[in-house]
Amino acid sequence: MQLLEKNKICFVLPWFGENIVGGAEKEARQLIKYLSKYFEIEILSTTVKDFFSDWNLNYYKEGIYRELGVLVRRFDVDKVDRTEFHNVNRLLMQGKNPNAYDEKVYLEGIINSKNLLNFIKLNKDNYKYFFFMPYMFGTTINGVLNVLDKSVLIPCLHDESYAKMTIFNDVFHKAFRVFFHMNSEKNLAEKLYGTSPSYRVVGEGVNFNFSGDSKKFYEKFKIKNFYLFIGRKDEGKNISLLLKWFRLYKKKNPSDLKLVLIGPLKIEGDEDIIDLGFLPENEKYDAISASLGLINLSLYESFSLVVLESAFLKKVVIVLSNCETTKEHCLNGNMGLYVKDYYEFSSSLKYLEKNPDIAKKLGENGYNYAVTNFSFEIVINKILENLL
Amino acid sequence: MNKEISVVEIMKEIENNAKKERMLNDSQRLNNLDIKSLKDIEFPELNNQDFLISSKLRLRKVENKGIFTRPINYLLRKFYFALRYLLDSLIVSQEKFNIFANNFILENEKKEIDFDYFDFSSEFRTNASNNLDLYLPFFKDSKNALDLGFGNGEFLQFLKKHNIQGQGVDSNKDFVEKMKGLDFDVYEADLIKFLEDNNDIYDGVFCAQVAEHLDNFNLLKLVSLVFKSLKENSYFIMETINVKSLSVFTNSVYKDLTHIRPIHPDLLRYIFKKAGFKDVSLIFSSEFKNEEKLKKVEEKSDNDKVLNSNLDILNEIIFAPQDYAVVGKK
Repeated sequence: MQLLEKNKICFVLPWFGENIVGGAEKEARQLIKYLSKYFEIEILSTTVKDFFSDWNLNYYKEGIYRELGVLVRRFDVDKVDRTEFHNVNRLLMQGKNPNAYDEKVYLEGIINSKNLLNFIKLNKDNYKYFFFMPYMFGTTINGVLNVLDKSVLIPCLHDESYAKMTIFNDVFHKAFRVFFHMNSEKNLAEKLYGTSPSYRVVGEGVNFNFSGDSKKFYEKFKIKNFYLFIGRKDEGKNISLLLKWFRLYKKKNPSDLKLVLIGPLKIEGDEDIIDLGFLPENEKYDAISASLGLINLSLYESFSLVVLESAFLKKVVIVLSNCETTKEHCLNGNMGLYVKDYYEFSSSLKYLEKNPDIAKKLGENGYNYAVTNFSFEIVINKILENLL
Repeated sequence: MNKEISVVEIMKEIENNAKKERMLNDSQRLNNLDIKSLKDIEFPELNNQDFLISSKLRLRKVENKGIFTRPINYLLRKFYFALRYLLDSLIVSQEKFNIFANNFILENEKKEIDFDYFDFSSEFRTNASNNLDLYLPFFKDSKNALDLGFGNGEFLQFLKKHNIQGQGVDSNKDFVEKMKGLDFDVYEADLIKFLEDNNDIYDGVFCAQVAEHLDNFNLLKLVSLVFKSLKENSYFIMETINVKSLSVFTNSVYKDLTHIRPIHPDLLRYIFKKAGFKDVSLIFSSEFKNEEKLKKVEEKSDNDKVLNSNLDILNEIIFAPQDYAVVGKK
């Protein structure tokens, strides 16, 4: 690692800030923190505040800032009329397959900065690598295609309409390295754009610096013998399916077993299903520790942090076998069960009830899997190994 | 990672238990049908089934008279579920068989395994047509008839018996040798290739129990090639298994390893029309004997009449004639 110490790298991001919400944004901040031990890091970004703000508004002034201990260069954003972009984008969000026209409108409208691009072109030689994330923004697309053999793409790829645009064929193939969080994400890229020697699965770092206290949870909520759901209680997380299966299970197998829900949005509960609403992080971890295990039937997960957090707290997980990502965790970690219909769901609950030792063992496997694959040190080492 | 337990193994056990629970649930659903709730019995699902699409073929419920009405309607409904259960399994077996048969044929071609169809056929008499008298009127003036896929040669012998000149083609060497030995005018060739390479015109073509061995492409090709090889005002008769008789699925359809799939009479008739044939009609044959069908009861009441008419309907679906032939005139 000594050789790399003096090297300067930069992260090219559409927006940057300490409190910006979003998975990729949070991951970028963490990576910057950990990689700064090995590189001198700069951020290249636009003057836009965040994803939810007006993309034609220079929230920041163009210039140099110092934030989170690193140098941030912000460049004026390109101002464009996005009327047609919004029409096309709405259809893409509904799952339409993009045609050539959609792609043209998308590329003209997606956030971009000519000034940023010019800076990259002029200063390409000053940086060892350019990290781009996530895949779908103009800063990433044009950036990768301009620095090519110095580009490192962390795509955060999902099975969605944007991913089907032809431009990404070029982007994914021309990048020097593409770092995926999971095998399932790499498989998706291979399905969409074909294989490439630049593809690497490095995982995603998780901060395992928390613990859970089951007693505290019981003292506060007085709930025992329950499975846990954590997340937004909406269709994206397949919540109605979970409620339906659990109610049916309780009807057919009366007991004092309960389902506890934690997270945004409110659900009408009953004596078997208890919605605790949004809980602070430490209470969330207490809840995991107090539970029998986590149930996550979400179909679309690119990584699933809650699954790994539960695994870290030695709890078994039950996921949907149609979700490649969570199923991959269960299989690779030998740590959880994957079900495809109500009968498998019900058989899984019965199996775990009948075999508490195995449930415990699965939880322990989960801990080992999480710690040996997704600790930041491990992920950063994989990134460094794959850059040399 | 722990080597002692394996999620894959655990999932196998869970999937197995789930399968049992699913089956148990299905059978409970059948057993728990509530007689009281069947007051206004409807068979909407039944009427939606393709195989009972004709209104003539709908199961009728017993009219609401007397104390046996409900139990009878209840039994009818149960019978319907049982039948449907059976048909579902049949359809699944059919799909599985199709895959198996296709693979077998592909493998057979690839590895050049010699499946002895002559031996198989003499054991099972698979391609024998039992209905030759029905077809005589269409060949009575023929002087140059052709039997495509003559197999054991029944039709050629039948023509000879009625002093009609006929030729035969079959792709199986053993069948050809056998008929040559009996002094028949026969050729060993692929049927399609024979018709393509041969410019002769025939005044009658017969092709029995061959269609179900052909894939879609070759079936369409064969019918159109026959049309070209046929003299004006002559007939082409193509006989095959009648899929409208459900009993064939427990019998002839699956007995022959080289069957690809049976063909619906409406489809074959359509193919004939599209190839240019006129006066296209169907002849059903190989009927079941009465003692092989569902028996009727002695009619002592109105309900007996309903029961008997329902038995007629079921006989028509399950024990319809086992073969049919499409007849087309050029």
